[in-house]
Amino acid sequence: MNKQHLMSRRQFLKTTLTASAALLPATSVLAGSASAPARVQSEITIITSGWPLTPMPTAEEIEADKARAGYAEALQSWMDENPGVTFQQVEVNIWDQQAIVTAISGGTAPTYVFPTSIGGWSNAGARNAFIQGLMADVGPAVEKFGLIAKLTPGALAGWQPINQIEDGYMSYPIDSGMNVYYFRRDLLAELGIEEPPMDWTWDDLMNLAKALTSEADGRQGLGALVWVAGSTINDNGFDLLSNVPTPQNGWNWSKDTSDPRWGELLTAYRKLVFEDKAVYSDISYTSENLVNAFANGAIGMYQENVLGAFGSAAQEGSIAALAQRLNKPYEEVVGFRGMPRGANGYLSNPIYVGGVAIGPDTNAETLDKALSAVDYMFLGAGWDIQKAGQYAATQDLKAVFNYPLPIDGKYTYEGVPGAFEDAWGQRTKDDILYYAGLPKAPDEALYMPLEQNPGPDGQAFEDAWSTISYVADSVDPVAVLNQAQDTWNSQAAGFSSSVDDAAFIAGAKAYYEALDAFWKDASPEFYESTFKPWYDSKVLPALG
Amino acid sequence: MAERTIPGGTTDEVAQAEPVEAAPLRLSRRSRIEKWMFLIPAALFQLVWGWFPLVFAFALSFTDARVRGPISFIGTQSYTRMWGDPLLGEAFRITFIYAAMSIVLTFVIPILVAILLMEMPQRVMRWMMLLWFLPLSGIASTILWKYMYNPEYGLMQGIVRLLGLPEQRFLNDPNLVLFWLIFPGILLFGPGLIYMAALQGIPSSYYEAAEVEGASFWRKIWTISLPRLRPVISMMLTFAIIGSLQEFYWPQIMTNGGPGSASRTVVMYLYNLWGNLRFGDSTTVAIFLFAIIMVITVIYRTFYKEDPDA
Amino acid sequence: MSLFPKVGRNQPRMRAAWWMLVIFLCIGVALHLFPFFYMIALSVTPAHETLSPTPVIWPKEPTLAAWRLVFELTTRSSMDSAVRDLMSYPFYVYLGNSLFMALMTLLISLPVTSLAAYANSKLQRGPMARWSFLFFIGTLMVPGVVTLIPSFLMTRNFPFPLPSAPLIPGTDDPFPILRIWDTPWAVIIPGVFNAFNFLLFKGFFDTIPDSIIQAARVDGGSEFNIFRRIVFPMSIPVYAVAAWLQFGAVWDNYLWPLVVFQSPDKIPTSVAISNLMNRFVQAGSTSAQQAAAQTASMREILEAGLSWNGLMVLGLLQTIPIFIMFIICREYLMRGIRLRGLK
Repeated sequence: MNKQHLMSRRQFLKTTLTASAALLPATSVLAGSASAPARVQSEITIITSGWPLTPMPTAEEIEADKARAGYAEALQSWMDENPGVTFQQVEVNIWDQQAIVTAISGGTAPTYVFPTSIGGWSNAGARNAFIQGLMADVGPAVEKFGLIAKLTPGALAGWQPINQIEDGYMSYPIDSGMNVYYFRRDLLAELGIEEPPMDWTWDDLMNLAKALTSEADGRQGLGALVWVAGSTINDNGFDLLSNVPTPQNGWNWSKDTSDPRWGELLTAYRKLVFEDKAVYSDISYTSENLVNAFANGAIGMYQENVLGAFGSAAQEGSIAALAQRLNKPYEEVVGFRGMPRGANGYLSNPIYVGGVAIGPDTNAETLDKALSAVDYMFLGAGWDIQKAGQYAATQDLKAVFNYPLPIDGKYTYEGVPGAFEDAWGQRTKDDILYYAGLPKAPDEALYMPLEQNPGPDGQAFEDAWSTISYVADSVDPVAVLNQAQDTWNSQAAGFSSSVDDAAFIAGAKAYYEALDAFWKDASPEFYESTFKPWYDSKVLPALG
Repeated sequence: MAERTIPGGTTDEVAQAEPVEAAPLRLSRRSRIEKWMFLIPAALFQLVWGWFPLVFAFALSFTDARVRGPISFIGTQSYTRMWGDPLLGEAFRITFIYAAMSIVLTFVIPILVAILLMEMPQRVMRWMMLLWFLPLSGIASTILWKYMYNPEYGLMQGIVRLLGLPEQRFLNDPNLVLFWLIFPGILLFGPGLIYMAALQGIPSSYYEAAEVEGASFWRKIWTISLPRLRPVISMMLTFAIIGSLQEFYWPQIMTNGGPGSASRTVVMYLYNLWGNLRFGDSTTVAIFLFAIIMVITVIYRTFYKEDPDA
Repeated sequence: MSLFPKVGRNQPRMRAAWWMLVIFLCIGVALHLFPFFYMIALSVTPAHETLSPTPVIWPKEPTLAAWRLVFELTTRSSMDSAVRDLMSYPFYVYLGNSLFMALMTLLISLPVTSLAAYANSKLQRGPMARWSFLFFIGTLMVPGVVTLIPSFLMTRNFPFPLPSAPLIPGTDDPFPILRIWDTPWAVIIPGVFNAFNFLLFKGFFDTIPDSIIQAARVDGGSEFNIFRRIVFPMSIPVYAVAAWLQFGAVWDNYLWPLVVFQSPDKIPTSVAISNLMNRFVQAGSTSAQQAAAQTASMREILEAGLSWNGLMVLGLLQTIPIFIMFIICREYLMRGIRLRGLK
């Protein structure tokens, strides 16, 4: 590290002394291509921006921080098996979409990139980016390292539909999470409210929100950001039921919001917000507002990624810190409930798997080594070594077990005395695993032919959720929803699909048949009351 | 620095300066060469780094522009698509309202402030300038104003309650959100610095002459300060028009375009398109906006007489 | 004091008007200063107080913990690996980069832009002047994101806005290119012509009566000498304002240096600081997925103990050089006032 400091100081002096000097740019004139300079065959450089792996820590850092030591040991053991590989750190913000897409355009992207940020923060966007060639295909690594066998069934169900694109794969998984509702179990106990059942519905949620609301205590039951309005109907199957295949159009899908049920549900939500005043929500709020409100007892529950609930208690404002402040065991303070079920029996499993993608200019050997390192450090022995190092440094089980949904299903680590349940409570683990284990509906990506062209985005409906969530007066949810539908359909008229009608119809038929089989089994209630009638009346005629 | 008094002697002569710019400019050959020498470096940089990428990007709007991979020519498909996009029309409507309101509400005050500030004794002026034009972090402003506008415990709601008015929803109200977004800008006096710089150039002899003729405080402002400021006002107004029609950062951070689409400007929609990797479409929208801004600017500059001596 | 009449200055109405003026200006100052004061207050607030829903005007227990944390952050003296990971190099490296880019840009840009504005204002007439004017400011009418990728590619393969140089027709060799990417020149050179400053200078030069210039021409001398001896001294205040504005723009520029630099030791302070700040401020997530993904990048920061108070310290650090520049420029701005007062 000292050596690096010296170099940079020299550079610093050099640049300031030349400040008044010539105007000739200090550039390199290349008569060649834009990609990385030629390398010796056996030398492979993995370029990283610091995520998910950093270059080997220096001796000084290892000396100072035992957690670093664990990482260094793990990385070293991998490098012993893989000689000739170095890691180079560059300063590229892979979380900023503009920055990373621009870097990719010029061939300067690091080896490790984050797929979701490239795609504009949505799964569909990430897939679209992959199809456009903004990420490399990690298929060879998936096969070579036997990834599929390592994943739990839940993780596989969360990872595969989004990442498998034709014969290739978009990203290599390293963690997973899902959105759940956090609620203050201790408050419920204090107020004598019964906990909702595991398969709770929106009615249960709204009643709980009302019960937790207390103007005297300055507390509102539910903290919500803009998409919760959409949740009220998505949890009743809106996402599925409002998309109707229309192969006769240029763009093969259209939206149909005519079911009166949606209006009723949205009206009920608005009543909760504006009449019962049970919802803590404002247009300027971000996740952080809700986290703070929850930690301060200003709200009784809110929807958030389950990952946010797991971190060291030393981190101010964290849920673990809250439990510590209240002097109670974690599982008695925070409880989790998954997405509520629909009144019609619809259920969903929002588990997602996060992964690392590889920059498109990476050659095959570098990709192989880069993902070998990831596989070792996250899904292999390297993970345990790191965790043991982290435990040695912090002696804090909560800091070590910060992933409630490990994709390989491991809740204990070699070298760490104790397991996940010791840190967070058995009940916490069981609750989360219950929701992670719910059946997951088949994803259309596995059945439909790949769509190469972009289509209309979800902006029209996001506007609808925003209006419904925030505007107090004279809003008719049905009208708002129908307007979103009309806007979306009129936008869709300007797009055309790359898939020909015959292929589309064949794929759609296969998809809906799979859905039919799934719902018959997973929720007969939903199947009988809603899916079958909709399928028969809307889908089958459209597919001919 | 060498002092220069204005040649020409008496105030009357100077005040009656040049007639309207009908007098053609006859430059010597040497002066003409120098003119081009002044212009060419800037023109070169502007051409290479300003116009060239722009034209290139605009050309891409006729293709299904992708970051990588083959690009194919699609003609005007992007144009017809965006022309028929209801959300884009809405964004333009919002943008026009926003720009008009912004200029009406926030343009005049910095001028007044600068004029008045020039009246202070020097020491006061230095301090005022320091305090008033303090550069600020945008993030601090956003935190502060998000708090101010909170309908439950925000300061603005407190003031509203104090005045006995009905409770406001502030940024959550689609009819008033644009006003509330512009409101903090009314207190922004930064541009005043530029007016102060220009006010230096007005000789005090002008004011003295006017006073001798019996002009009052406001009359002096109206007949001397403002006309002499005309070119600067014109310039700032040009910039205000160009800038407010491209408003992005503030509404994005405060309301993210909401509620609904009530505060989504054209540039915000453009960024959304870019974020969905629809580069061709986002450039098409930029072309629409560019054309509109150009037209408005040209019209405005044709009609606003900026010669102070006219 | 030109607006207030000399006669009758001490009359009560005059004094009342005077004091009303002073009060109005003071209220304006107070309102304008409040966010700045708020930044400072937040920076000394202990972390748990920053979490309360109602923001603090002044913390109950002010603490310098955030300042200390940022100090450790910027000098990389912390032993905590989470903190060390946040910045790869000590702060003075970034500071040096920022200073070099800002000062170099000013050095080249001010003469180039102001001379062009002068020519457009005083040496051009009629339709030619109008077209030139539009040529120079037309690029302001398009948001920067549109030209982001083509401009970036040009820094990679000047003059081709393409990922790699095309082949010379008829041969197998690519064209020779210039690469200013990952050097400070990638920020400086595109910044040489500044359209906004052009507008500023032109607006100011337009206020100078043509009679002055004509009279000087009669006396003989080149255009440049006229500019140097007559116009430039009158324009010091405008140069001061333009210099300050451009310094601020280059100093605060975040996205362009972000895409154009890759080596960790070349980035300016705006990138180093904003990388941290932006992870904290979510521009309104529209989907659960977006919020979830942003949690991932925020965790790193939170684990280091950085919260709003630390961010405010960083914000202040970022602002201070611009503030210093402002004080310097204010001196030149005041010079104009002094000159005028002597007339």
